[in-house]
Amino acid sequence: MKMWNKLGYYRVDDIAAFFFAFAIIAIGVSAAVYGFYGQDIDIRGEEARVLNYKIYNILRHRDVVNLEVFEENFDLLDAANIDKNIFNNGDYYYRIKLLGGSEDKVIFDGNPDYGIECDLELENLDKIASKVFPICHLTIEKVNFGMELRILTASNQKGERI
Amino acid sequence: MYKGMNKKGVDTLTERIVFLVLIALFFGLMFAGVTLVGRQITLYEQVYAKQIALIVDKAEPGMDIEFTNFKIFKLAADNNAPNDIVSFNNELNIVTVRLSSGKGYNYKFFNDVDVVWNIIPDRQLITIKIVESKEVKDENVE
Repeated sequence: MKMWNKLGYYRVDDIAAFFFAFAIIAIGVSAAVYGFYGQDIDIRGEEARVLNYKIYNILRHRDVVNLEVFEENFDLLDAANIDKNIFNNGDYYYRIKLLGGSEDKVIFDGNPDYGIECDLELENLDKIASKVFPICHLTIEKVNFGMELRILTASNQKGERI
Repeated sequence: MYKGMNKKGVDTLTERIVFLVLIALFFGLMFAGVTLVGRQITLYEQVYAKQIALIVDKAEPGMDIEFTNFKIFKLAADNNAPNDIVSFNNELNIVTVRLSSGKGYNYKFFNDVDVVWNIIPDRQLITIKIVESKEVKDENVE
């Protein structure tokens, strides 16, 4: 099938080729524009830090660790004024460890996958997945009686264009 | 048969005009799209939504926060944004920023508080009052 004549396109069949060519151009331009302007502002690290600070304030009371936090019926999210529905929607995580006592104490809540992903991230075992993995914040503090308090928080909220 | 017609009787002149119109339309749309994206309104919506969400996350009940004279009002005016450039959904803990006629950008805040907000375009002022969760029902000032 002849695609061009001296005057340009001349067959209806060729319209498909015409639109195909323009679709390729459109995709190319869109990809270039998206690549140039499509930045994403990442505040997940800051969110993880704020979350960590809120939890820390509940745990550390007058220079001692508030051991009530590790009791089964203690509602840490409520005490730290964190919305449970938002926290449990899969974008957040916390894990608190109190090490070095008669027995280690660990509590966690939120998306459990983030515990593993944060461990990988904090040990620098993963260097490529920061866009997929959450951003984590770890606070380590020596506390009373030689114990160590570790508060790990993570956020992976991406936001949405509506 | 005049010169503008080919053997099959298709009017090549008309055909060419149609194609020229299509090409003009195509490049017009591409230009409009690139211009819109180039203004970076979507980026600004995202930036402001995230900044405000972070401020709310860090805030304590009882705090009053004022944003004044910042670029958000100029961007909203330039892009025919509606009056509610910043709004909050206290049920879902979402802040929405709209700086154009589009639907805007949503971001969630995890702080368990409610927000009472007021937008005063004349003074280029947005006030945010942080209150205990569920204290607010329908008292937001439009």
